[in-house]
Amino acid sequence: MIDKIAVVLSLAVLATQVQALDVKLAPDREFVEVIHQGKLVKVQRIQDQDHKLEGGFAKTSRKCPPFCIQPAQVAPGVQTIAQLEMFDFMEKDLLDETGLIIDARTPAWWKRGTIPGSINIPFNTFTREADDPGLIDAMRVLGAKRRENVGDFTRTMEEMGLMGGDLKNDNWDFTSAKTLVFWCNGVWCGQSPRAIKGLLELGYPPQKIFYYRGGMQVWQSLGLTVVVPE
Amino acid sequence: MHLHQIQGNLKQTEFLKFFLFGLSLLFSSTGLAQTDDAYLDALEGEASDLTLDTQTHAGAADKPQQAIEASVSKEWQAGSGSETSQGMVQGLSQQEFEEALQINYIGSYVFYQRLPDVQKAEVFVFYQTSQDPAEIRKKILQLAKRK
Repeated sequence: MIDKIAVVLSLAVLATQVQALDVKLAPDREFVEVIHQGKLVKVQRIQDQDHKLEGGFAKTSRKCPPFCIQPAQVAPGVQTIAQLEMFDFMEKDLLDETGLIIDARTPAWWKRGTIPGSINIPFNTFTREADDPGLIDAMRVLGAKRRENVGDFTRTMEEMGLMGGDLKNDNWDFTSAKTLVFWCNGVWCGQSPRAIKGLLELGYPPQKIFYYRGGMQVWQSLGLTVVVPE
Repeated sequence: MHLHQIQGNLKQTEFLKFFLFGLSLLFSSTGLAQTDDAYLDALEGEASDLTLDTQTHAGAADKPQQAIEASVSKEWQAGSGSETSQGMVQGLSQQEFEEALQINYIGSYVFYQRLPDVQKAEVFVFYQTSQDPAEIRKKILQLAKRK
């Protein structure tokens, strides 16, 4: 009984706070909710309008190379998106499990904190050999199926555009591939561009890949919620 | 110069070209590996003492959210076919159903609240055929993604 009262009281406080948000995500959107590692996380902005960014992402400059400004378009056919598109993706594609948000950074970065709803697949996963178990596991998560011993007749038909050939190659079947958003540290980070290029080399359909170029740099500068992985 | 001498020179030239090509391949691949390793080293070095703004950590701005997250965590785990999930009581009015959802299945309630009234009614109709919380949650999420 006491537990139920506590939950109701918590809800009442939460409802009050929801109505009181001065710093919204958009005029018609106060926050976004996502499931991250089994828990509901509310993505919102810092409400303190005097707060100044602290931590590593307050730095303006890092040595280039290797931390060079990346082009706005990472590859032909891959759309670059920003924050509002991320929020839409969280509420639709992520919710119905047709999409994934991928933190393409190495584990050392992931452990510092990540965008809620993200899974971690380090960028260098996608440059491994075709029969590498780590690559095969990652591709399975993305919805791509490994193919082996594809017959010449089948490949010929597929190359003619038949039998769903536009989404298949010798090694992979991308028919059930998920829509992906890749991100890393921001406009000065090459990790997610490398991941995207590696994935395109494997044959992943470019129209199913999105590049959140702003990354953690912009996410932090907007005071948006991060989660520290357990 | 005799023909066989010319042919010999040609073969030597071809061999030299092939040898130089092979050498260039060897050094280029080695160079690439070194570049990748150097990049990874730079990444690890940059990450080693980096911290994120603590004000952006989940829960920093909204303490009561932690209690809700804990409840949701239990619900989401229980809803995945666990024997600990309990069915909802049958025969509730829509208001009673919403209150029960709010008290016992807060995660589902959060998404339910965001549905338009027509879809809330659809969930209530569904509840009358199935009181399984996991099935009700699936219905709510199915309607939520239609928006």
